[in-house]
Amino acid sequence: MVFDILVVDDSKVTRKMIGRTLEMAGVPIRSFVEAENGADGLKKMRALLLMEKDPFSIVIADINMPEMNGVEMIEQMMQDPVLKQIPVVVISTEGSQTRIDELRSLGVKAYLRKPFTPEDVRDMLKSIVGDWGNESDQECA
Amino acid sequence: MNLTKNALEQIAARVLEDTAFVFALPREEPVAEGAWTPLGIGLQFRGPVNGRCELWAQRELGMLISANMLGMDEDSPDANAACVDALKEALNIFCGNLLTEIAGEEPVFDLTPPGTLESLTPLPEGNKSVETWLDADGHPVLMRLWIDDEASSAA
Repeated sequence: MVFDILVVDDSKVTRKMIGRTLEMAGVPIRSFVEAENGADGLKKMRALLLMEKDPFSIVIADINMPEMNGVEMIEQMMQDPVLKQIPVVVISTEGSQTRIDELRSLGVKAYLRKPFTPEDVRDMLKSIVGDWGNESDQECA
Repeated sequence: MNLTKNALEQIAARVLEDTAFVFALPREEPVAEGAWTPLGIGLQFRGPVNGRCELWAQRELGMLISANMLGMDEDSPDANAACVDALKEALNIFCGNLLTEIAGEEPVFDLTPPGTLESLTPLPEGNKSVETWLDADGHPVLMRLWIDDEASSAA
């Protein structure tokens, strides 16, 4: 299994840091696309559909972003029969259980609180998509 | 809200270590005014209480943090370019973790995107503000938090 990942965050450093953490976690990545807010994220998700390509395997999104925040983006995804199938992971700094419960009720699959380790990312992805094979399998492939 | 210098120190140290592999310890003496030229980053939060968080550090620390976050050399042009962005991310993580630590897991806070600050102004007097100095891999850092009001929690 390989992942086509969309990261939606207004901080370029954070997007790069998430990409680096995914690599360190041994996540097999086919494509890594960045979007700087919810509107940009939706545009990139819809562009794949217009080109009749496979949708992203997973969307990793921040909450607090200018123009369109993460909650608004997720609400719009859930209104689309294809986009609603994409697992969404929210990465944020807040540890509010109330906020986490709200996000889960919107359809968010997982919530990862910063700071996080490569192990946290790997465990979170495996909880959503299952095992993708161990590192030695990837090296032999 | 229980504001303590100790909470600021512990959370700032943990965030710097976990996000940027920078080790921070409490600094005994503040840096004298005029003895450094720091970058200031600030954000506001709104929720049961409203307030602000600030981080002040020299560019050299920003470059170290960005280099470690992005896995590149400290003196690379990319680390330099991402310096302010990296300090913003560090403050964002610090503030989110601090609010959960001092307010618990129930309240929801909205944080504004971090922005740069013009000048280091004195903290308002009273018990609604706290600041602490850290030494992060040899670089001074000033972390500050203050509460503007608690009107919404009393309502």
